Amino acid sequence: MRLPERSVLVLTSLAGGDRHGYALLKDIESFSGVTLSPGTLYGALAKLEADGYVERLAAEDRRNPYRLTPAGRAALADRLAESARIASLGLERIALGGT
Amino acid sequence: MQAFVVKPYRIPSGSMEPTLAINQRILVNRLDTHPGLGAVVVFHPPRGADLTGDQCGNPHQGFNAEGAPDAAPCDQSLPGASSETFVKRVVGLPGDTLRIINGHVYRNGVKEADSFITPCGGSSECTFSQSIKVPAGEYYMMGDNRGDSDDSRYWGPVPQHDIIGVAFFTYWPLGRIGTL
Repeated sequence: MRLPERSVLVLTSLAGGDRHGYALLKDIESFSGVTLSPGTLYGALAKLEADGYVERLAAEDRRNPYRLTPAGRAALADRLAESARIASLGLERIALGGT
Repeated sequence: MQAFVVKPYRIPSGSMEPTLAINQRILVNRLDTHPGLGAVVVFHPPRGADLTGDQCGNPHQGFNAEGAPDAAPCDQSLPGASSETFVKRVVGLPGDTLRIINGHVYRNGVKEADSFITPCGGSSECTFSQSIKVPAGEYYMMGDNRGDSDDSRYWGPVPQHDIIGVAFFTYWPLGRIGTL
């Protein structure tokens, strides 16, 4: 199953360090301009945790930070490589095709 | 066409799965704005639902609360309503005491009959250590997909006057046609 876009945003954020829910949401907003709702974010995190791509760490100040697992890092790398290949092909076709 | 009593709505997200799927169409009775427990309703959420991270009117609750964000779900919404329309289920009536454990709602101490839900995954929005009281004249709304729903837990209860109506029928896709 292909990683949905919101999961790519979450994994990309966690690739920069362990974060709890609100910090994740703010980080995603800052690098992508996408504002996820907490419900959507937790839905994505629950799915990623079930898939073994992220793990929940012990609570700090009653917030659980999340960490990217090696499997999550690999899945993110595969997905981003595929996106990069499509992006590069698309840009090439736009350049060749003019308007 | 605001004059019509019955209005169709399209489901935009998976927050009401498995009851309602994305792009499913429902009919809403706009004369019924005093829903009972368990009704599926269309409403304008509080203004806090429009703000980053969903803002609760109570600074100690909600997603970005200081201190103990998982202590209690949001029991007080910010004044004003969003122009968005949401579809959720009524899980708490005015004056009810609610406690949320593993995504299940305990209403006045009794666990809701919730065979219709997708269980919560176990993350922070599934269990809260404190109960809350729904204010007079307001309703508590949650999505059936308890682990993937943007609902009252974050932005609080919904005043009665922001309820647009009760969903009573689904007509699309044809395979799911029937009453709600």
